[in-house]
Amino acid sequence: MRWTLILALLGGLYALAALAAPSKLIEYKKKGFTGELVEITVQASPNVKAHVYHGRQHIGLTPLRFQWPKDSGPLDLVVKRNGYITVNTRAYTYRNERLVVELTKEENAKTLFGYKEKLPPDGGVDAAPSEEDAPPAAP
Amino acid sequence: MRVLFLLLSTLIGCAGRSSGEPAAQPDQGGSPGAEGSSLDSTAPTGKKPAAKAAAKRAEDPLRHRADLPPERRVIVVVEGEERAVDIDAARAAGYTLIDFSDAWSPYIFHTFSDAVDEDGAPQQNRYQSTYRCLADDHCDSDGVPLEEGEKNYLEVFGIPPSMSVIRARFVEDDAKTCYEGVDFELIAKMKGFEYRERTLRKREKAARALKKQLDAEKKKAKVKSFEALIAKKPDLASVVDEYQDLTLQGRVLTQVEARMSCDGHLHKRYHHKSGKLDHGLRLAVRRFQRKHMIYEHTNLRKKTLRWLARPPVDLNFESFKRAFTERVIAATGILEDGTTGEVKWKDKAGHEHVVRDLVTEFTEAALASIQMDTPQKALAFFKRYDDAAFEHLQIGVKLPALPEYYSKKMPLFIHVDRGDVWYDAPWDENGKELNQPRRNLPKLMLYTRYLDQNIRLVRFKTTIGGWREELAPNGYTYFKYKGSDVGSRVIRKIIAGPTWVPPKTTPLKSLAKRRYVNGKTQGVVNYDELGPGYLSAYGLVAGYFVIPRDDERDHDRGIRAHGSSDYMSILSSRRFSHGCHRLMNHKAVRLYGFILSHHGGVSVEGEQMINHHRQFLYKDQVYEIRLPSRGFQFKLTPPLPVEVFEGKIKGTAQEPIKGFIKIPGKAYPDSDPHKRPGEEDNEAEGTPTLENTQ
Repeated sequence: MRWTLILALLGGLYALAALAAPSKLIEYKKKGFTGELVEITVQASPNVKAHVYHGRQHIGLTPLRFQWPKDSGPLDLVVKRNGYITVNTRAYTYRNERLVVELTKEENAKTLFGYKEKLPPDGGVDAAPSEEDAPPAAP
Repeated sequence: MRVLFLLLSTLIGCAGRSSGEPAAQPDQGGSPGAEGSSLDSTAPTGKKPAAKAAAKRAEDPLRHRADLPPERRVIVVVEGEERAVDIDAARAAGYTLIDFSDAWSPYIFHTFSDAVDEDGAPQQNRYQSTYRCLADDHCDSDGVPLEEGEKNYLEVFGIPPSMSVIRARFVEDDAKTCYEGVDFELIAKMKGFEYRERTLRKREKAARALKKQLDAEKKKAKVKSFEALIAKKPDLASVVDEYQDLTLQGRVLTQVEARMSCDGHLHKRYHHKSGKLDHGLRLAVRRFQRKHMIYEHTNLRKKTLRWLARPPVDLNFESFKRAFTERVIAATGILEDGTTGEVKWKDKAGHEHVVRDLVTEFTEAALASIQMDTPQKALAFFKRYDDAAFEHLQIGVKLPALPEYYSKKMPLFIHVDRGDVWYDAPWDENGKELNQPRRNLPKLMLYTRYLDQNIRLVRFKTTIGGWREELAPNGYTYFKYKGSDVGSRVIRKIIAGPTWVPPKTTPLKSLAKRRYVNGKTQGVVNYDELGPGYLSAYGLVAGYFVIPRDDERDHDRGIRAHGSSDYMSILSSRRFSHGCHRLMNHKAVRLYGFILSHHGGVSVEGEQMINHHRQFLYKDQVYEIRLPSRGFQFKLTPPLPVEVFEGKIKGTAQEPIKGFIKIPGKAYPDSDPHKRPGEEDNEAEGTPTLENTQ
């Protein structure tokens, strides 16, 4: 019980720390960063509030606009919202960017490219050709 | 007195070298060296011959001039004396200028004034700055700064280190004392390591038994060393030899570890256990191989051991020569590297010549011209110049004449020989892999036409397509034969720093990966594969093979001849591409640099914006591919002719097998692979086509 509480407390602290993690931009500014900045806009489609993360750093909720140092390498972002499938996307920092991230509801996963039909309980059919025109799998 | 000395020191210090000047000039020997000495010698001395000589020196356009701004300074060697001379004077005196600066990039990444952006400024290939940053060990492939002490060893991927990096290697290794304890001769005795556990155990056992026997003999003979034992009992020499042979690998491994530790390759994070042939050692060997451009599997094999047995100054000299070679090639526009075999051609006068290995010839001439043709001379050079010098440093060299067939507009064409080709499936009815040997491997050759002769300039190893995994519309991966087209084609477009737009048939596992981003591991699209970059499917540069049409709306069947980081696939007889002709990245850079320099009809079209964007589902997460550009494009007019020859078809099948074939041992749903889940009739969308293959 005690351990569960401690773990829960630690988990909570970690989550708070992650949310409050200082943005890279602020760090740059603290260090006296005076270089050029680009503006990155992230919008979700449908227009819902989704969390945008860069690693452990929570950048904000969509629709979101923030500045970032120019030419500092691409920015790999994660866009999350309950009930929707998490999207991993990327913003480039050599120009101003406007990202419209399409979010798909979990129940609509079938509509996405790459969705796999689940195998039957017997683990699928044997390795034999299913195409009429294809030659035998093991000629 | 002391005050006077300090005052003099200060004055000398103030007049000392500025940034970028030689740290210590070679002995001037009273010859017309520095500008200062030249001015001094013009002071009235009352001796006429001295004044005359000084006046002559002042008139010499190739006199040493310390006053030159760095961008006008060229280092040349005149009568054995290293001088900084004016750039125009060096050119006028017939010196070829080689860019020695860290701003160097290959010809394909140069900025060309005829491609301008919306503001009228010359369009720059965005990858050029990444290339320089990578060569200079400043950033990773995404352009993110490297952590302190991290190195990029990218020569095997076509990016040689910058001169500052090479300088640091020379100077740092020279200062290390840890190499003194390495027995390089002992490493040289080993020709290849044994990795098979069973054999190693047997050897260990035999060595233990012999050691026991020899220890007993030593005790009996009251000696401590093997030499003393042999001196007393010569008949035991063969037993001692056998014991030494059995333990050689272990002793060499100790030396290899010492050497690689001194090199800085045995990184702590590799967790290598001393004396073990473990994964950590493999990673260290891979680092060593990449640093020294050794194309071998990550074992301690012949070439790797041969290089480990050489002192660091020799290896640094080899690195320098390779990096220098690429700069000589870029400066002179040559390509012939001796890969053609003996190809003969006749000049205008009817004299027969053999196609020369210009790359080796010019590099050696350039090194001799600048007096950097031995490891020690190169070390001395890099000790003379500090890092700042490499911001602008250029050298002037005297080179041999180019062959007569060279011009700015050379009729060029490419032949691809597919070599031995198997269309049969590569496994039997039990799913066991079949042996399909290929003795004659595919080759890509560039020719020029001169005085009714086809002169082959290079013959590079390349790849052809074969059986590859492909994603079917039902979401499962099958085998499919991805062949290389045969027949007449052309190259109309060359893209430097290309991106690869993956077709929908690309297995998704190769398009997604986990990566540590800003303190946390998250899913990312595998942009390494997509580019632009040295690891991209199209490497550093690609030429697009198309079937030409009059209106230039060419038929693109997705075949390219491009650079590749998968160099082992080019060297192996068992590896295939998806249909494209892969080239070693550095060879592709040279090939297309040569074509762009000598085709005579190149227009620079610049960055090709595509804003490609699509999503896919992999392991319950969506991955969004975002590619803003296709790369930096050049157009050839007329296009470069290409002929792909069928090669020798081996085995039973005389034509490629069509359609998907299930991979032996994998489970599949009992549905049509051409249909997406939940769709009844989707053939038009789902049938995979041969496009954008790699």
